[in-house]
Amino acid sequence: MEKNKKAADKVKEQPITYEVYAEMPDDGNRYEVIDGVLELMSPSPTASHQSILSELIDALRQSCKTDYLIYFAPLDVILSDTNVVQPDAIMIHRSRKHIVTSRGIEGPPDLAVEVLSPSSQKRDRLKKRAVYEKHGVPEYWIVDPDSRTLEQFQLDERGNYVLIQLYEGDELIASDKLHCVSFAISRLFADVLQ
Amino acid sequence: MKKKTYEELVKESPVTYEMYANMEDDGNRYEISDGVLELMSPSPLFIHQFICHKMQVMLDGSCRNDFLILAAPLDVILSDTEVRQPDLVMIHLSRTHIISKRGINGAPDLVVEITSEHSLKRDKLTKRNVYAKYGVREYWIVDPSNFTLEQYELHDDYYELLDVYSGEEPVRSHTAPCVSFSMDELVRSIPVPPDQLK
Repeated sequence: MEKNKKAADKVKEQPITYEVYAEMPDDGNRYEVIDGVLELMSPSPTASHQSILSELIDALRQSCKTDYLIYFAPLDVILSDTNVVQPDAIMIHRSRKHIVTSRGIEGPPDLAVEVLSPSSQKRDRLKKRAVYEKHGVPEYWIVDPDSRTLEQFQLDERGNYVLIQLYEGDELIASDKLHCVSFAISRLFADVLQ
Repeated sequence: MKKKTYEELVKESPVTYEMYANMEDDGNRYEISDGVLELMSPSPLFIHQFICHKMQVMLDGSCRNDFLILAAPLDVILSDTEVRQPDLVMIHLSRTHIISKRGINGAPDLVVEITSEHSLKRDKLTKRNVYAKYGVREYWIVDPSNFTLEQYELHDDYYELLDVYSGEEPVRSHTAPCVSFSMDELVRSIPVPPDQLK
């Protein structure tokens, strides 16, 4: 008992790397590695979460497919050896398609999107935001199903994320970094049943 | 001189504190945003007012020896053309000189905004930039739709998101170390079943 506990503590202490993560036995759960710490992802997303995500992917595909590769979770985005995350959606400009490898995405995508769940507020708003910021993901969107808003963050010249716009109602989403983006925020919630 | 109405003032630019203070009282609340007169949202929802009241009581309970805690409506005059009415402000007792007959003349130590459907953009975007620009050390955004608290701390002229609190996690503050409450404490104190507020 005592011995087991010590072993468990050791696993907690050492930084988890991509190698360790990749070799973990599959227990049916999804994990991320954030700053060397293994984090269990929330229980399976809700129907609302998935409905919003699929509308988002549709909207991005419609106008951005010729310029960007568009992916959705689960897919490993390996930002460093100790930061391996699974954003809900990402876009990678086709000129940078070399970062797509057999392991997943190895480097910062041009856009990362997280759709909030009640259990992921802190991870998405704080931890993953800091990770995307640190690894130079130029644009980060947070979709909040409760308030039906999309918060758009962009890196400023100092490398800090700045909230440059908050979309609500029927407003059209646009980006000076991702020119192809053009859809109404309300579209994302069209099939949310509750 | 006849007092000016909202319709008359809204056309003028820039609107200053003097013009705002002398306008006709039509029962509405206004702010001055970078020299522009802005009508505040319709009367807040029950949950908004309840959280505001309860937070004031809790903050007063643990911080009254160090801070003055005041609730809206109260003018915070950041400049002649920037006048805001935050939901809650905390002013350290060593800085009470910023209090005047008109309201608060300068930056409170900590400002709290409780979001409502109509104020999200204002609270998260505009007011956040304004509070940073005028040197408010700490800014909290409380979201009643999911009972989270976003905590921003001023670094030079830039707000860094320091933490996002929910559940039982105690809210801690560098600006006001006396702060001690959790979002669940707020939730538990709501006197009616949640369904009644939908």
